[in-house]
Amino acid sequence: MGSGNSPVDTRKEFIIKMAFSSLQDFLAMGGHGIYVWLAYAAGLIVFSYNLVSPTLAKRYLFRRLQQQIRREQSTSQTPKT
Amino acid sequence: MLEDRKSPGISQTARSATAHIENPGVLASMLGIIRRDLLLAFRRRQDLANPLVFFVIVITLFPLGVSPEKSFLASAAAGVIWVAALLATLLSLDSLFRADYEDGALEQLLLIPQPLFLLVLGKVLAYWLVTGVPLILLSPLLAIMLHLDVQLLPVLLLSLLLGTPVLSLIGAIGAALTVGLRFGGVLLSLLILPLYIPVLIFGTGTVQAAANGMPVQGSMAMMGALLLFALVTTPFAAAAGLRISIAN
Amino acid sequence: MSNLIVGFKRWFHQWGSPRWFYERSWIWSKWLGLIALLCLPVGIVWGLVFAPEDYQQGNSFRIIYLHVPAAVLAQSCYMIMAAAGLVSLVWKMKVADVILKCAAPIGASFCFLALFTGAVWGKPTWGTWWVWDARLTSMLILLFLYFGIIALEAAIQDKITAARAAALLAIVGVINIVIIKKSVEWWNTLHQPATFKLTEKPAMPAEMWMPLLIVVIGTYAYFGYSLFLRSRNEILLRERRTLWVREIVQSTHARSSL
Repeated sequence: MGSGNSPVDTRKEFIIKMAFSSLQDFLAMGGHGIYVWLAYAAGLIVFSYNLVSPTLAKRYLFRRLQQQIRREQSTSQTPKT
Repeated sequence: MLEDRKSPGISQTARSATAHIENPGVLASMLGIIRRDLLLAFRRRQDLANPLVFFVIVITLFPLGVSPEKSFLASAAAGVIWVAALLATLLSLDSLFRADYEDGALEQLLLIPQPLFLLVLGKVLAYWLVTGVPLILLSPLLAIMLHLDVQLLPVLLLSLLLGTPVLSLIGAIGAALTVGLRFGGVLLSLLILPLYIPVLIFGTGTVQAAANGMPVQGSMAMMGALLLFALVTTPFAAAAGLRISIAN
Repeated sequence: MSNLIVGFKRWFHQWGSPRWFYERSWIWSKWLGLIALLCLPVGIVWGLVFAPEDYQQGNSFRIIYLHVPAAVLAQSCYMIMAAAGLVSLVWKMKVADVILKCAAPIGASFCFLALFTGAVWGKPTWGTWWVWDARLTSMLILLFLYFGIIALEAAIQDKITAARAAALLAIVGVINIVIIKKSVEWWNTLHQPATFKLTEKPAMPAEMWMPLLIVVIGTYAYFGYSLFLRSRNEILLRERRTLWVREIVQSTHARSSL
């Protein structure tokens, strides 16, 4: 991954290294910590919401439909007077 | 105009003689709708004043609620008048189709052979004549009360003249979609206000540009283009909305 | 050639069958979920931990890894809704109705996320929580458009009428989005909040935009996955009177959703 040999080479290397030297630095985000983490908290909430909401809805839906089917089956089995 | 076309038992000559009455042309039916709506509006003259009074009161809220300083009012005048006109138009939009919906005339309108979009256009035109034009006529007086620079008055009037029909046209779409709902009024506002924003921006921006001494031809042309675009597209959307709402 | 056309038509009209969609969407959603599960953590961690610090904004720029995908998704979702609306009105497809209704809350929540992250990003960058610049203002108006569709769909009792009305509104809204964008940009130049203009940065180095691309791809996949979750529920609800739905509901091995 070295740079080229040409005299005027402005191409940077493709570097992957950690941008923070310690966990405290990571949480502090160079003084912008509260903003970054606030934003990511919101992101977590939105991403979770769109997974949790339909999942809960499905459970509720299945329960409701099963109850309805059971009710219909029991009424169809009661002898008509 | 809404009479049955098939009249068995009448001779051919008699039928052709009355054909122009029983089969009105497209333009004639549109004019008929306009005449009918204007007539209905003038029969309830007290209701004509409501949007106007609302317009005036909203405008007076700003010096009262914010500041009566001439410097503030003069800079805000165009925007305040525009916002008030927008809200006044929005306020009475619910009645565009509702009265006809409630007495069944709207269903009849959907059934007659003339193209629905033209009838909608006619209704919107009548609506604008009754609500928009009085606003435009009253605005110079209110502009002076808000200390608007007198030189800007023609620009303001022109922007309202080009803009209020667009507000009525776009509003017709919302009115068509909500006509079947009992409390459609507030929902109508929620649906239509985002669509109003470009009209507002261009309307007030034109006056702002004139106030800054910049040429207004560009933004006026934009408003004209918006009006033409609205004239050509919104009647179809509103007609589709009516068919959707009345379908059940 | 005519076989091709017949085949295409048959494929197209299969989409009209809610049952076909329900059965097929299971495998599609699993694939999309997998892509999302791979891309999102990788992209986010890369962006948060490994991407180099921005020379101008410091570390607050890392909010971009949420803001841009959210904004892109909010806009694409509305386009998808408008397309679904068109299909719904022209071909009267039930599946299109369902997709439009289910995409709306997802799009609206991401639109809100875009606005929120935009505001939070703005504070360290420009010094204020909110600024009336063209992009944020347009996104705010987009949120209003979303609310309008959700409200209209909820207000009409009859499902078919509600779907058609929402479809029409989505189409009208999409036409307006272009007009709104242009007008807000013009409005912005008119009032010239010069201090708050987002300065043109030099092109982002690969270490910065690659994680962004990965997160965007992951977000789209996630959108598809969550859309399928919601649509499948909605289809079961709408088709609850049919035999195939009753069989699914009654089967003891009702598959877990995730």
